[in-house]
Amino acid sequence: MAITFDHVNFTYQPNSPFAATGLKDVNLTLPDGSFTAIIGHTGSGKSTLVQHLNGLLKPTSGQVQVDDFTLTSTTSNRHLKDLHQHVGMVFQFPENQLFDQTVVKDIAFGPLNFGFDENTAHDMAVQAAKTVGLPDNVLERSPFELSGGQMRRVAIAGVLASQPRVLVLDEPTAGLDPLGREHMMQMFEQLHEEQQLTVVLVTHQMDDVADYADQAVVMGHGEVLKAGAPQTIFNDPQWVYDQQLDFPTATKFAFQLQQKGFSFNQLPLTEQQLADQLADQLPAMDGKGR
Amino acid sequence: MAAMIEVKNLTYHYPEVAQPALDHISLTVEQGEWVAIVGHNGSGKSTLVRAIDGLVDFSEGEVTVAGIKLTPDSVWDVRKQIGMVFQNPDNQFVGATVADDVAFGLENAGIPRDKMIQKVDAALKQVDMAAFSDREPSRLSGGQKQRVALAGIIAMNPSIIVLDEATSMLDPHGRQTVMDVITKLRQSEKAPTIISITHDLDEAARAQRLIVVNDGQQLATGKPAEIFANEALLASSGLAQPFSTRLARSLAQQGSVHPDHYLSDTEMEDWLWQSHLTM
Ligand SMILES: Nc1ncnc2c1ncn2[C@@H]1O[C@H](COP(=O)(O)OP(=O)(O)OP(=O)(O)O)[C@@H](O)[C@H]1O
Ligand SMILES: Nc1ncnc2c1ncn2[C@@H]1O[C@H](COP(=O)(O)OP(=O)(O)OP(=O)(O)O)[C@@H](O)[C@H]1O
Ligand SMILES: [Mg+2]
Ligand SMILES: [Mg+2]
Repeated sequence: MAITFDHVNFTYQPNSPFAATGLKDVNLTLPDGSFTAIIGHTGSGKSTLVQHLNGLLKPTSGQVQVDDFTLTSTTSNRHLKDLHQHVGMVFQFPENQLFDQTVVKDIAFGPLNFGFDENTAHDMAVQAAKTVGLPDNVLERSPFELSGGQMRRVAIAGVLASQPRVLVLDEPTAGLDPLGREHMMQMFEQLHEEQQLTVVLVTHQMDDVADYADQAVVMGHGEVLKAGAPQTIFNDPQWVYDQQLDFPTATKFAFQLQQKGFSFNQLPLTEQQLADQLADQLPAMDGKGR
Repeated sequence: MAAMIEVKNLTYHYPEVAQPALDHISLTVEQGEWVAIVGHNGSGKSTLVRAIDGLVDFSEGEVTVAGIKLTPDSVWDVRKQIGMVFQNPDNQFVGATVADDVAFGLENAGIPRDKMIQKVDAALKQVDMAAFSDREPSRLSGGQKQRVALAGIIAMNPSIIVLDEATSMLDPHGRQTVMDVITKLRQSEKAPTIISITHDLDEAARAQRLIVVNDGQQLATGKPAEIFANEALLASSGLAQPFSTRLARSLAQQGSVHPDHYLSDTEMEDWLWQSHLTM
């Protein structure tokens, strides 16, 4: 199975003077077990796109297929509960997905709702809170009386505790401290590798695209502008600039070094790729050439 | 230089939370200075700037802003000095449309209508949001909301600008725009004092000074290069290693020459090129 978008259009507030285009004729395939990064300028339709994956939004026309689930304009909400278990979504603003009285209840909601008994759900919640690095002393507090990064962690924990098969992450590391960002991305990567979760990541961090994604989709004004391996996307620098995108840190660094006289066979996207190619152009540590 | 913001021995407990969010913290920000505040999630950064803006009823300590001691009576005079972008822009919007929202502060300040419209237009243009002036702020994308919040501050042109993770959801181009706006403001006659809270270390590196907050206290302060050179400090305060440090380590693992102390990106480029030439 896989995720497919088939001629999907979406309009916000249709048939009103405020009608605004969200998506325009989107056609996409995200293979089962893939890790896809969705990138593109502010307002390009990334959040609109991924909110179709768990039925939060339904296509105005066209069809979205998520494994066994089919979504069209007429799909009724009654059919969505199983989809909500199948697809876990971390919203762009964590405040918009928190709701319960305490942090631990908020995280336990998914497991409870999907059939686990109270004790098990509680234990799963405590475990998930630990995994995302929440301090113990926040568990019994209101999820709204936390710092921004702590709320983000609660939202992620709630999604993990529901053990979804598809993980949709809308800028999941915005608001996390730098170490938290690294840990969280590595954890998503691990879930992807070990449990073959399909991961869809919306991000403005080109380093995350380079480090984790096997496919990148570039959105612009509600349309898919390009889809392909990160290497393919970044290999066209002028196009990347024109889309108001950026390059991974290692790539920008390599561009600067190129100006000085270093040469690279293949454009480095990650720090490791850069180090590999640089090492060949530097003396060895023991002072001998290579 | 005169102190623009002085925080002395400030302590604050949120109701019914045992651990203090601010724990006898003291710091000074000079007039015209650009300071970035960094630190792990929950360390007290937002609480600190909210306290400076008189939004937190602290139990102990003292805050002085532009020479005005913060008290219940002076709080409005203090707030007039400060333009703040909150961590979640949704908590900030008051206007029914984007234009109304950006105009709100100007209206309160009694700016005449034609001048106000001019300022609102100019501010929205600076953040690429002019086309959205009639839209409802709540019905925008995340990055569009952050741009509108920033426009509100640009229009006001206050003497103190506080940005609480104001660029966290901007696209790379938008981030660059904000950095350019800050640079331009700093060169202007008014040269505002700027405090930016950020988890983006590249952004932090552009400030004149970093303040590292940990458990409601100032753990360290110094030039970005000084802080980035201190690996133990970085690890203990939720900060990651800068790119150049990680690259140096990978080069070491490859058995290649590598610098043995922190270098900024540009210094690292020069260092690598010099080493290459010795081959
Ligand atoms: N409304 C609130 N009620 C109770 N406690 C709160 C509230 N807001 C924050 N806290 C607590 O106060 C401490 C400091 O929070 P603060 O928001 O200042 O952190 P921060 O450094 O801004 O973190 P982040 O990087 O996550 O935004 C945290 O432990 C947090 O849980
Ligand atoms: N609730 C809404 N009502 C009307 N229009 C909306 C709504 N939400 C988003 N839009 C519009 O739809 C377009 C796409 O928005 P979307 O949130 O998908 O962008 P995005 O790519 O996620 O941007 P960002 O990087 O800023 O989060 C934008 O022009 C936005 O103004
Ligand atoms: Mg979005
Ligand atoms: Mg904060």
